[in-house]
Amino acid sequence: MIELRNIEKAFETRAGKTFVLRRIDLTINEGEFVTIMGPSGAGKTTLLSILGMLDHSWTGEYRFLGEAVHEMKPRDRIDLNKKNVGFVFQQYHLLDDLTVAENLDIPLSYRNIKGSERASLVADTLDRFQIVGKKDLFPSQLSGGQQQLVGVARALIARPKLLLADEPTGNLHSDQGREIMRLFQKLNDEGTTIVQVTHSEENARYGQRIVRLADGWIAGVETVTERMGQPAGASR
Amino acid sequence: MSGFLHDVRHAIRRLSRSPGFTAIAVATLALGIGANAAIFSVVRAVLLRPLPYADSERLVTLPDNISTPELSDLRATARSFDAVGGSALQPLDLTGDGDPLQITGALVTGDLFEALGTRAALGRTLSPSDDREGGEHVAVVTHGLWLRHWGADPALVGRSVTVGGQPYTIVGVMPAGFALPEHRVELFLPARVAYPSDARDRDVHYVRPVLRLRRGVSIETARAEVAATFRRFAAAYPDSDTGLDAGLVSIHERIVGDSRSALVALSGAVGLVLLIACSNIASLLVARTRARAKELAIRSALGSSRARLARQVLAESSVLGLAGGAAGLALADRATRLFATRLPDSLPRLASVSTDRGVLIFTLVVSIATGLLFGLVPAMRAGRRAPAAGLRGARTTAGAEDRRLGAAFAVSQVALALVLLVGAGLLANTLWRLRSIDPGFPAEGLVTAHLDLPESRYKRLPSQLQFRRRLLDLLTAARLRAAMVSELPLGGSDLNHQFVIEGRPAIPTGQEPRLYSRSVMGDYFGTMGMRLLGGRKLSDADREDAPLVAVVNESMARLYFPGGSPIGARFRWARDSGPPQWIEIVGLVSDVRHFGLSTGDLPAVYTPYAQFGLNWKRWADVVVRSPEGTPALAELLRAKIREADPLLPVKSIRLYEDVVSTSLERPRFLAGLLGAFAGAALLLATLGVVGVLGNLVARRTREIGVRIALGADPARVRREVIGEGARIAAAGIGIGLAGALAASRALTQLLYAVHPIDPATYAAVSLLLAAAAIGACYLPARRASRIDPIEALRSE
Repeated sequence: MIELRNIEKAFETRAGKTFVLRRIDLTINEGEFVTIMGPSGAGKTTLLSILGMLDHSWTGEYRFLGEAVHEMKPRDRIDLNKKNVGFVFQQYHLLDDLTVAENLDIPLSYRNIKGSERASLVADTLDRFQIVGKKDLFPSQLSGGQQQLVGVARALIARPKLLLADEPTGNLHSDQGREIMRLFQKLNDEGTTIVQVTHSEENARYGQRIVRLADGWIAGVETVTERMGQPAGASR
Repeated sequence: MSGFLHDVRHAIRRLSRSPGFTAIAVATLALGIGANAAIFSVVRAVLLRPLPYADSERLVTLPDNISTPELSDLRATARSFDAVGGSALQPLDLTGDGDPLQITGALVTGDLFEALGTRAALGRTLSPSDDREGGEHVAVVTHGLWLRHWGADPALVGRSVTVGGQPYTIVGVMPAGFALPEHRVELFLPARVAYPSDARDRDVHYVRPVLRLRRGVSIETARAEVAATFRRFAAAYPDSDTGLDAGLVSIHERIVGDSRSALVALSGAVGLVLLIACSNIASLLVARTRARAKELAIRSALGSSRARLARQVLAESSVLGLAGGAAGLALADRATRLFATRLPDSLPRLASVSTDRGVLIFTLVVSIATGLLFGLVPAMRAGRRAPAAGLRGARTTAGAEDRRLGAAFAVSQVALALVLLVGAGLLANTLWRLRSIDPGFPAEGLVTAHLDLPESRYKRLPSQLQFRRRLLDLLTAARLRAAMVSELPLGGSDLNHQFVIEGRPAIPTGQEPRLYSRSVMGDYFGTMGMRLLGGRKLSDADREDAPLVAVVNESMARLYFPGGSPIGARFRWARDSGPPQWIEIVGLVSDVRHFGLSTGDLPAVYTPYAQFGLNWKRWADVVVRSPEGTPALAELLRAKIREADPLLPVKSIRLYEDVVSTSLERPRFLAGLLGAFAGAALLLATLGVVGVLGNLVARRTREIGVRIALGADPARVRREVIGEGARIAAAGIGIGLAGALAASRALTQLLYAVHPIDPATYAAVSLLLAAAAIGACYLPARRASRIDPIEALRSE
């Protein structure tokens, strides 16, 4: 699904060129659940942004579902993002002035979908995530866990092939965090490819592979042998 | 108090730490307050400041000129007045004491100086005892002439000078700054001494009266008494005194009355500019207060009351208001200096426009009020913010209330700007229509010069005619079309007499209609380019001894010969002495815009200078047209006048296009000034929209970042921001249109051929404002569309 070859990103500073990512080679297959880990400043979020086609200033080759992203104009990249990628953020980033249902509708509103179809998708998603009762509430009326649940629902409403999550449980207490991770695992089991960035070793073990970054380099890739919530050695 | 001073010190420190914001706020306020101070200085000088005479509120005048005997009789009989006087303008030549000088003098009747309540600086003024036929030749000069011509010689009083060929003894010098209420003159002569024949004639209404009300007598009482007196005059002298208008008005009102509507409009305009500036700064201050949320929250948590927090914001707005006021005062001072040179002469009392103590106090009050006004909303919001919310750290999404407040400020600015733009648009439309009016003759290629033949050398008609003929011959010999007229179209002067048409039913004496009389010589109609519609032009053959003839204008023919031709008809002046002198109408010419471009011509007659023996009509305007165009024509005209009479001073040689242009001075000035204010309003409103949208984008950075991350493309983000701006513009234009509909009626008196609710102007102005506002959205929209979602989300 994703092939990165020699991806590099750098900033020009007074001190010269500062690399954020260096020679990243990475392949992620459809249906995988990959975790990116590393210390602060290692380039995790930047890599996630490149994967999500939100960041356009990098060099190297990036193929997504066989299409050469590196040869695309920014506008085409945005289209590719719209069709295939969903985002979950650490701070949920729900829009304060919109209700839960309206927040869910945002990604659909950017995708040329008829109003009636959008309403039906929103209703389905509310149902699927069991938040129908909260559809008219504003984000400030929800707990952190509930907000992130809406964040995940919003990321998935347009049925993306790839779900990118940046520290999805970073602002949640451990019970809420585990619930979200179990939801991720369930989604992954249902076929959604997931790439998450996290500092949590426990959360990393909900996925199948861990990519460790350090100073912009891939310091190592390891396979999770004992996935959380699954029998030892279980892997798809 | 010390607490407030402490707040002020902090405010100054805070403002100095954000020089960009401070500079923009002070500049905006300087513009708003400066415009108000400048217009107030004009309003104060023209409308508010009393005339420079003792108890000037007691000075009144009559709507029309009256004759010297009428004025004397009024003085003798009316009890409502302490003093009754008057003056008449008279060009005078001063000779025999240095270079010959042609000056504007005044013939003074009765107790004019007593009425004005002004004493001489040196010597004495003229009194009723000087103004008697056969009296001594005495004169009073102004301070300016004393300085200019006699070098402030203290021994001038008592010296004899020659005025109009007659010796006069100077008995007084008026104080510096003294002037007659309605005219600028330099020398005063007793009317009955200088021109006894005119002063004797009850039918020569040439004196502009000045009456001082007796203390305690109201103008209404005086008006009733004058009306009763004039009724008695009319019964006793029906020939001359019928129809005298007793409508006394205060002299101040007579001088400034016409300017009132223009100044009220300008005051309203600058008021709106200041309101827009206030709204603009308030919007900036709200954003600034929001940015200080954490600081205010900490202060609140440490025990500061809400009132104290509000006071801090008010201290900042007051400092800004005062700084803006100081800068505005400097701007106003510059503007008033500019006004002194650029304001139209038709606006009276401009000499006294200055930034004096009154203007200083006004500016101070406006500055403080402005500071409080634009600081009020931010102060209330600062006091209201819950400390906990602030301490948690400000979220960068725009709350609905913040958004509404920002939009409300921008909407108000757009609405106010629209009101101003509509006003400016209506006046510009008026100016355009005035400019496109045909004055009745092609002004291009015409040059004119005003001549006043000095009485000393041209006392009688033959010498005047000799000079006129010689000058026209010289000009014709130079292959120019040349003529003379006593009252130039758009020149600002006119003369009318009552008249009677032969064979018509008799009209009671004194109730005869009036006809404007214009003396001409040479091919006046041909030179001007007026159309001959019937009969013949006046010619050189219409000399002193030839039958009396006249050419009438279309208005005369239309009104008095409807459906027929006036050619061959005869009329006479109603007040002729001796046997009737019938004048035959031999021609009919097209009307001209004599009284102003916006006013049609009135019934008028053109008669030859050579006939009627009008010795006193020593003035003329020469008009010259060259087939080769106007360059060097002025110099040629000057040279020919000098050749005809080397000693004759030549006043004001002008291109006729300038004469036409001068008649548009006032509407042009008004449209220009209102246009400048409207331009400033447009700029401020546009900046207001930019500011509000810029703040909005800054506050919505995270939200826009989220939206981009969720799939919004840049074009869509741009459209959303521009849509927000368009909504603001639409609401502002809607409210502004309602305001303009109400406000534009105040301009009715200043408009010509344009309805205050002129759909084209409203539509054009709305489109302009909409385009400017939406154009102003581009930058914030572009910034929004370029938000890097990663950066936006990371900065959280």
